[in-house]
Amino acid sequence: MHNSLKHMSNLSQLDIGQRACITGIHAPDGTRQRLQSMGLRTGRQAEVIRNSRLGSMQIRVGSVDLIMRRCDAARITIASEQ
Amino acid sequence: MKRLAIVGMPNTGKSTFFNRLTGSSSRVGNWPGVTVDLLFARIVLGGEAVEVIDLPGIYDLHGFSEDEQIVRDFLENNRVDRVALILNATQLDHQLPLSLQFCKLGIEPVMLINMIDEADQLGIRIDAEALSADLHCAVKLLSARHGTGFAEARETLTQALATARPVPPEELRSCLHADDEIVQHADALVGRYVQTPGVIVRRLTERIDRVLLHTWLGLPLFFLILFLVFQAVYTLGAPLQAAVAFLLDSFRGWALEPLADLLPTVVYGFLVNGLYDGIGTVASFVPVIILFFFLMAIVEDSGYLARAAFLTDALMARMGLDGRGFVMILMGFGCNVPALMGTRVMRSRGLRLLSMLVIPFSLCSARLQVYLFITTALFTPRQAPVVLFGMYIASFAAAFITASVFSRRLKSDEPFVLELPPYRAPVLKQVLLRGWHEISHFLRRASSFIITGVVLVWLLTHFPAGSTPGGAGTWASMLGTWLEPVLDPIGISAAMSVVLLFGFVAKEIVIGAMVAMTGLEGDALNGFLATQMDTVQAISFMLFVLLYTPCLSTLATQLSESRSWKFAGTSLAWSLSLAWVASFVFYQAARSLGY
Repeated sequence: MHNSLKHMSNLSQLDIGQRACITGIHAPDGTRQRLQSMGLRTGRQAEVIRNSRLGSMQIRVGSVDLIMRRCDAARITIASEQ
Repeated sequence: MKRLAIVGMPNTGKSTFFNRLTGSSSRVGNWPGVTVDLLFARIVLGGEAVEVIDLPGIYDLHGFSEDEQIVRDFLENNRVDRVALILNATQLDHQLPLSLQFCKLGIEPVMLINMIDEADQLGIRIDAEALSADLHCAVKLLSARHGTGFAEARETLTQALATARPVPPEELRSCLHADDEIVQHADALVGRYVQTPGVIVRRLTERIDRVLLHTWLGLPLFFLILFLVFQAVYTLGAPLQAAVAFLLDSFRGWALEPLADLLPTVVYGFLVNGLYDGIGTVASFVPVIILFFFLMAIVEDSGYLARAAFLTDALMARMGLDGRGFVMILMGFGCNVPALMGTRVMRSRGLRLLSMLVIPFSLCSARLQVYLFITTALFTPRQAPVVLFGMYIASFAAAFITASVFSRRLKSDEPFVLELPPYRAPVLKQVLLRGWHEISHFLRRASSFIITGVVLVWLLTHFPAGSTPGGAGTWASMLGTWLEPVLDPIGISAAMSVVLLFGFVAKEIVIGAMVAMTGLEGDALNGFLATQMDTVQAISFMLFVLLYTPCLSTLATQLSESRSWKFAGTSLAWSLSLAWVASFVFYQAARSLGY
């Protein structure tokens, strides 16, 4: 699709329907463990389902749908797919 | 007695399984090493008594949240013969790591893969036998909602308990630490034993969400649904309330009033006018609460609450709260007590305490009763609804002010991440069981406070001996005189301040206390009220009633949920000050403007 060289970005920057591979979580230990246990782990594919104008996102990771704030999604780095 | 612990992630149907296994016999109890009450039941499995404990839903045995700590504390301090691990069949990739954490501890859980009906519909096939052989533990497929495979699962649990070799708690203590290999192992197992169609599509859920989570329609629809729930509570609740009041009154006339000749006046007065009438006033309110709990159970069971949190989160974030906090405030419009208990899902203590500080300002149905009575008595039919609406605005405003004042102290670093379950049609039996659990817990907790409060009210209005009941010379009227310097500047008369004292116990008593104090009813009571306050004083009184504290049950729940006298005390002091300041500002401003 478009520019594949934009490889390091974060989950909050994805558009609806876009998928990407999680490369890391930049947060304190407690927060990182919490996000990981909800399924947001390095190497997993995440897809943006909904992106509310008010600041919340719906993310699909594997078989699980999550809602999270855009500011928390911004802590999760991704590698955009080709 | 053997002990079976039920463990699983949230949204796996863990409670549904627990309810199906134990029926309605469950209670809450304390456990060594654990700081919160846990739900448990004693049942008979295979001719042997078994204690079944429902542990909180957790995502990770090694996590940092309060619920995860509770599960660890429980396992480290209590012998457990078996662990039944409930898994959601539609998301095993997400769920297996938790199972492997248990296997690693040498616990050999019985793995009950639930929601197999949904997995079937989605085209997911699970090779339970191969998974069982690989992991060396029993694996069963079932649907706890509909009962498919439940008998086999129960049989497996019975056998597993018979051959249980519990791991000593001391051993667990030494090996509870994190491990990353587990995730890779889980992925390998899913790859081998679970067949998943390329893309899982939940058409119905997606179609419903396209409307209910719509960018512009989402919030208005949310408020409409809310309005319908409350409308249902009142339309269905009012006749039920009248029916209970009628039954209690009939019983009084038929069985209690004949006792008047047999018992000494004081004893009869205490038992019938005090205890029976007092508890009766509150009891007539129970049907509305029951109805409210059942409707909430339906909304909760359907999966809509997570959507409500999604829709309101942005607004709440500005006040240091999150979407779940808004849902709790709304629940508080029915009754503050269950709303306070609902904050248990929050993991950050700061966030939870802030939510519990804000909830008591929700204009609950008991306060609504007082307002309906006063606005009808003192305002014109055109003014009354406007005044009432103003009280709802004041309720929201108080919540906003409180949150913004305390949000700097009660900070939360909890990321707002919530699972969005698919919509599910509520199952009647499960809704009834769930509602019943909530109601029985509520009644058990509230009853002791209400009885104590009623006894106190009666004593205050009838002693010292020789004084006119409810009139001058009683302890109550002395208290009223003492309170005058505080309450006079906000326009509340001595008699009304006694009513406020009773209202501290429960707002349901306020009207009853006016009746008991004056011995008047209907139009005569309205006339009395008009001698006590004009419209400005009435609004000041209502503001004070809204803010000063909902009831003793709420205060007791704040204390038991926070386990902190300091928090409960702060909440009480804050709401009393806010109430006085709000009423003072309103009253003095209105008077100085010439009203």
